[in-house]
Amino acid sequence: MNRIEERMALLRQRQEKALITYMMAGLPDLRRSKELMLAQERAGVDVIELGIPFSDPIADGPAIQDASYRSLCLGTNLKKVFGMLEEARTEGSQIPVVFLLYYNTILSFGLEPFAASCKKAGVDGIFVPDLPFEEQGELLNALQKEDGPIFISAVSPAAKDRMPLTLQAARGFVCCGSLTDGAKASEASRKKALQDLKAAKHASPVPIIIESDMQTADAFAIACDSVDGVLVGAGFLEELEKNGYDAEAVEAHCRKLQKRIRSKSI
Amino acid sequence: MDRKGYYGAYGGQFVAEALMQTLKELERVFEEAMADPDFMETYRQYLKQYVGRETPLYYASRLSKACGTKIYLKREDLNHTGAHKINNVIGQILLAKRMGKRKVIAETGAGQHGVATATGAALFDMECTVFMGEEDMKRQALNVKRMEMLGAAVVCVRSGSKTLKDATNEAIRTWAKTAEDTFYVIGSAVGPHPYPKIVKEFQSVISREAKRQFYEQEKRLPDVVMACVGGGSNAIGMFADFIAEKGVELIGVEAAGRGIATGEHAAAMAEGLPGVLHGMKSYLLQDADGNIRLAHSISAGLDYPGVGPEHACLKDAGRAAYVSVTDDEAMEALLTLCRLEGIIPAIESAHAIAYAMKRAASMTMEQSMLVCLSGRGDKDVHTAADYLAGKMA
Repeated sequence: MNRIEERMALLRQRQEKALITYMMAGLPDLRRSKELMLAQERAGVDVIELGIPFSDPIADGPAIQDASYRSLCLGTNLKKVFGMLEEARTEGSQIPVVFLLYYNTILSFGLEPFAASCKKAGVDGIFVPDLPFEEQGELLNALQKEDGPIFISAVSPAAKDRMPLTLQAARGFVCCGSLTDGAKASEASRKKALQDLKAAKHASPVPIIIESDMQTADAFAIACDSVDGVLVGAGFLEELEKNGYDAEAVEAHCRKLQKRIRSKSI
Repeated sequence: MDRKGYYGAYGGQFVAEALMQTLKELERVFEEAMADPDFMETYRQYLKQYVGRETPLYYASRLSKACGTKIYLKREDLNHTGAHKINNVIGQILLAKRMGKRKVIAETGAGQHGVATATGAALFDMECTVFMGEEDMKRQALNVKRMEMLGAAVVCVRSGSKTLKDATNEAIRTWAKTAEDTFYVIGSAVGPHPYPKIVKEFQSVISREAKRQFYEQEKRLPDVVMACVGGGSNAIGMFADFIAEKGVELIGVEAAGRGIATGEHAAAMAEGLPGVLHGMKSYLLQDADGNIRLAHSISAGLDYPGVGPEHACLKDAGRAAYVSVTDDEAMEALLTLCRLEGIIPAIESAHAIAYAMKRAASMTMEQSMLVCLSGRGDKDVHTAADYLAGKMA
């Protein structure tokens, strides 16, 4: 069984929420990226999303754009990140890992070599923000041929017509955007977003994970019973930066996050 | 188009899931509008009364004589706002109104599409935000002022190369968050389906008119049809009605910047590497890891690392040829047109003129060529002055 699906099943059994963290591979360098992964694993993080830097991250906000740019400047590429993960696995790391990358990075590497390298390095899932359901066919074929990582999908709870489409083939978990994003800033629109989210959770065969910085009202607090877990993205990057990428500090921070999520108190 | 939203292997909808519903809605409204005679009549009325169409097809006799073949210029520079961009903007803003949107956003490189969008927004009373790279804002300061006078907010984009590519990234990001009340007016024949189709539809008026006008003067089809290509909106509009005329040679002219061999250029087709950017699969300038490379051109409007998907398809099918000319060649052509015909073309359009002059060398006075003069060069006077000063120094 896939490590992500295994972990999600375990959480469901224990009736616990998932904590998923996002970090940019290659920051502050690849060796320390690996140490940070291991620290998060020790802290009990459920899944790590590892960002592969790309020149034009059109689905990301300023914090991730900036991290992506800095990592690229340091010479990080997909091949090196495969190497880093392989090393971590050799050292005994078992944490479920999702690669978050843009489609052109995969196309440039080649679909089949990509699937084979994922398998070899121990990638459990991939998330491609610019690859909606309609365009996934070629990549899914390549991944299935290798019995490689599963494809993690994004859902848009407000788009009711599309929900069944994206949910039918979903594996592992599905991600949806923060409740405080852009147009959803008003109280009324947030209320509606929360309703949509609840409906999505009801319909989804896999856990629904919400992106949240866990600082604003968004939140997980309001949404707690409407989602199965939280993905800390931009906020987590800022935390890493603040802590100077210190492994111990990150471990302590993850334990705190974990506690807040488990106790549903944010 | 075969597979839905595809031109051969190119096109598609490579966007975040959050935008898919919006694209489906846009596609539905666009198809309905195309089948609605009232919509098309309104569009045509605005083109006639507001934009000033039809634009002349001008026989450039002195240029023809100098080059040794008959050269006709389709004068898109005489449109209101000074370029072909307004043809598409009027169409898209009418679509936006039909969809009940109150705000429009746009990306711009040379500023021509930004000015056209700001103009359309003022005309139809919509709030307008234009994203523009910091580098382009410097090169095209005059157009920034024009947009602001027309009531648009110009957002300075400082990420990446600070040019059109990054302005487009920022526009897509903003759109993904605000699509509920905001329409994204894409200016070139790029982006996710249905945008390339929409832009072609609204720009095809160029070739529809030009084909008839040419026939009135020459009683035949032209031998060669030519246009410059950045994203490819004026070119796809200029090609549209000639694609089915197999005897007509179609040529798209990309920007070779400082020369293809230097790597400092904007000729996505010249390198022939397909990839995915800005919601579409097409030819792109990219490095060995699939990261998008910086494009270079003296012309801000051609300074884009990709090209519209239908152009990629026309290239593969061999239906159109894509060539390139350097900054220097384009600037020489710009000056030549000024002096021979009294027309100051945009530097973008000067690329097409430059290749027309080259292509003419193997043509005769019995043959003829149709060149799209996509925009006027007032906005480029500073760049041209700097270029001449540098050359003389």
